[in-house]
Formats: sequence, C-alpha cells, structure tokens
Amino acid sequence: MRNLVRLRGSASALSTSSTSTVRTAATSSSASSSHTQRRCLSSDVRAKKIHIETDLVYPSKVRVAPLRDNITDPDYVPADRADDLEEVGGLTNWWEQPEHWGNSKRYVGFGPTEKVRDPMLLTVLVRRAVIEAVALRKFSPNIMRPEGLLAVTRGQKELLNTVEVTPIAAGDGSVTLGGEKGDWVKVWAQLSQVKRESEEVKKGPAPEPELTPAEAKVLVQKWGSEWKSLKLLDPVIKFYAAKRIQRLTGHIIPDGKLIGIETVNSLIAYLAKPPKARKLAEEIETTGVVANLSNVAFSPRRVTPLDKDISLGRWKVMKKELEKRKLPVLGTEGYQKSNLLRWAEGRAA
Amino acid sequence: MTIRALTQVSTGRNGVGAFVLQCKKLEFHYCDWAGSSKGMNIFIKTLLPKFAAEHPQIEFNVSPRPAKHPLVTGHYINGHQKPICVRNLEPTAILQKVKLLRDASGEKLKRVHKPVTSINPSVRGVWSPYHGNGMAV
Repeated sequence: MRNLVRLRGSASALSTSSTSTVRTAATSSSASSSHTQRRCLSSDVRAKKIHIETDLVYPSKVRVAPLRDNITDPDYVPADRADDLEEVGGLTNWWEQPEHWGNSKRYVGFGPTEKVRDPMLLTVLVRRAVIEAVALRKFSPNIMRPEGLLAVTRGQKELLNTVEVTPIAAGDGSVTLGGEKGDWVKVWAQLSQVKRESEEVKKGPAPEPELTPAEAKVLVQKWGSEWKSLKLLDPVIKFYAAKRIQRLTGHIIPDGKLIGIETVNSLIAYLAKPPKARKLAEEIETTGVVANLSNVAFSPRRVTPLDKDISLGRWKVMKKELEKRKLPVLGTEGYQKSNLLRWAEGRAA
Repeated sequence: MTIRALTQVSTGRNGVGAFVLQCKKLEFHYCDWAGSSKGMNIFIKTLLPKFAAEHPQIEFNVSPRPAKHPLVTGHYINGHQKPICVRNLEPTAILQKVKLLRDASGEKLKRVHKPVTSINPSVRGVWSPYHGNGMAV
C-alpha cells in the first residue's frame, strides 16, 4: 500500500456545519475618527459572531492523513514522488455544482417545467381555466390582487369538480356560467381556498396533471363541442384564463396572440398546435415528405469526406494502411505538412 | 487473312432510339440558421418532393452545410460537376436553377460559332430563301 492521496487546495478555513460564522470588526466610523477616539474604541472593539442560518452545503471538514511515523500498517510504502498520487478533495467548482445549493436558492417557475402537449388534456385544462377566469372576473372587485388566486393548482378532485360545471353563452355569445347560483358558489369556493393555504403551497411548482389522456378523452367526448364555440370577448377574462393556463399547462400566450383568440376553440387550437421544428431535418422526418421516394437520401447532419469514403467502402482500406504505418487515423496528432514544398518556394524560415 | 479492325459504322446520338439523361445526381446543401437558406429550406420542404418524384432516374442527396450559403450541385455521367450557389433565392428561382442543372450536359460551356452543330455536316450548307432560283408559291 502506498500513500496515494494528496489534498488539493486549502480548505482549512471552512467550517463544517451549515451555519456559517463570520467575524467582523467594529463599525467603519472608527477608521475615520481621530487617534484618541480610535484608541478608546480599540478597547471596546469586540469581535462579534454572526450566525447565518442557511441551507447551503459547505465543504466538509478537512481530514488530515496520519503522519508517517504514526502508521502501523507494515505494508505501507511512503510515496517519494507526487506525480502518481491521486488527487482528492479541493474546492474547485464547488459552487458550480447544483447539489451544493439549498432548495431556497433554486429557481421555481410559475408553470410546470414540462409543457402539456396532449390535446385532450389541454382541452380539460382550458375548460378549467376558462370557468375559473369567469368566476374570478365576477368576484374580483371584492378582493385585492385577484390574480394571486390563480397561482394554486391543487389536486385532481378540485379539477374534476370545476370542469363538471357547464359554461354557457351569455346574451352576446360570450362565455359565462350557469344561471343557477350553485355553479358560481362551487367554483368560487375552491378558488378562494388560497387564503387558508400555506405560502409553500402557493409558491411550490405546479404538480403534474394526474388525469391521463384516456380519461381526458372520455370527459371531452361527454361535454360535446358546443361549449368550445363560446366567445371570449372580455379581455380581463382572457387575461385571467391565460395566466391560469400558464400555471396549469406551462404554455405562455403572448399578448399579440391573446388579442387574436376570440373563442374557446381557437384558444384550444393555439395551445394544441405542435411546436415548430427547430431544424429542417426534424420537420422533414415528422412530415415524411421524402420517405416514399427511393431516389432521395436525406442526411440530418453534414456529410463529411469521411462519410463519402465509408459509403464507397474504401475507408476500411485507408484505416488499415494508416494503422500499418502507425499514422493517426483521424486528425493529425501534431504532424505538420512537409516543409519541402515551402523550402522549394522560398517560404520556409 | 489479315486482321482488320472494326470500323465505326455509326456515332452515338443521344435521343435517337433512347435518351439518357446526362445528369445522374443532384446534391442539395442548406443551413438551418442562415437567412440566405430561407428559400432553400422552403424549396426542400415543398418543391423538391414533387421534382424528385418526376425524375426517378436522378439521385437526390440532401444534407446540411452549417454556416454556409445554400448550394445545388449537379453530377454528370461524364464525371463533371456543376455547382450553383442559390443564396437568397426564392424557391421558384431555385427550381429554375435545378432545371438548368437537370438539362445540362456536364460539358464545359463553349462558344457556338456556327449556326448548326452536327456530327454529320451537310456539304450544301444551310438553305437560304434568298439564294437560288426562288420558289414558286
């Protein structure tokens, strides 16, 4: 056994616990005061310990290897060179590792990290958003910061309770809730629960929808398509619905698009539209326009000279000959072009 | 009996009997990022499938060439290549260039001096209505 460990960096100044201790001197005013005043203050200066409660992960306590004379293992052979020793520890890139940052420092978005893409799930969530937006529009004059109520998603039970309310058309065709008082009360009771819930629930990430696409499809077929033709004329309702949709589905609707959305159907169609392909190769693969053409070959990446050699079958021959001559197969490995030509042209130094 | 070499009794005339298209392969290069490839990307999505289906005798290769202008290269059966840069061109303009490559022979461009190019030139020259005895109509 050899001593195969050497420590990197100096970590002796770091404490072990998650509570950091900072020593501070007296206030800065003492530095600018007169000599007499400074002498008086110097007797009063007391080092203060400030304990900062934090969930940051600090480096562990430095462990020091036992001295050579204290090692009792008879197989121990001290290292006489540092080249072969394995390096452990060190503080390099300590704060670049995300696990060393506490939960309070991590970014939590308003919407879910993954956007909901399934059209049936989107339809159910849009129905919930529109119903809640209509209810919030009616009761919002009575409360402060009504849009704050849209930040809580809760569970599937509340989702099903909300979407079973049937939105109807008002006199001008715009969306509203049923004339019965029960629908308004039912929706508003669930929305206003936010006042009784903790701040952690409010600020936490939006949970994934527990509804499966198959279950959502059954619900959508049961509702029919009449409710989708309801108009979204009130811009406040559209704004509330868009904010709720962002929270529930992760889709952010730009203001320019929101103005053009006039019905529930157009809102669903905008959200269910598949994302635009970032590369032409993805789009060609998705649409399959050249899949049936046997004379068309499409490459999603650049065709290199190496690809051409491989397609012709001569690359294996070239590789074999290069390996036989102990030359680099790929790249130059520091070899340069011959200087003979440069000498002949008088360009060599 | 002496051995006599085979004498050439005819010269190949492409199109007499069978026509062999001189263009055997067309390569299309595009870039996903550059704005000069905008028309080329639309061409590949919309016009190329129809053009390729109409020309099964031509091999079509499409591949990206990042950070470069779009390019169409024709390969011909005489071994020559003819590249055309199609930067900032509309899809219909690119189609015209592709048709040009399809119809090209692959030979180097030559200046034509004579009114008739033939492998069997006429000893009488080109007929002229202003010479001779005239023609009674």
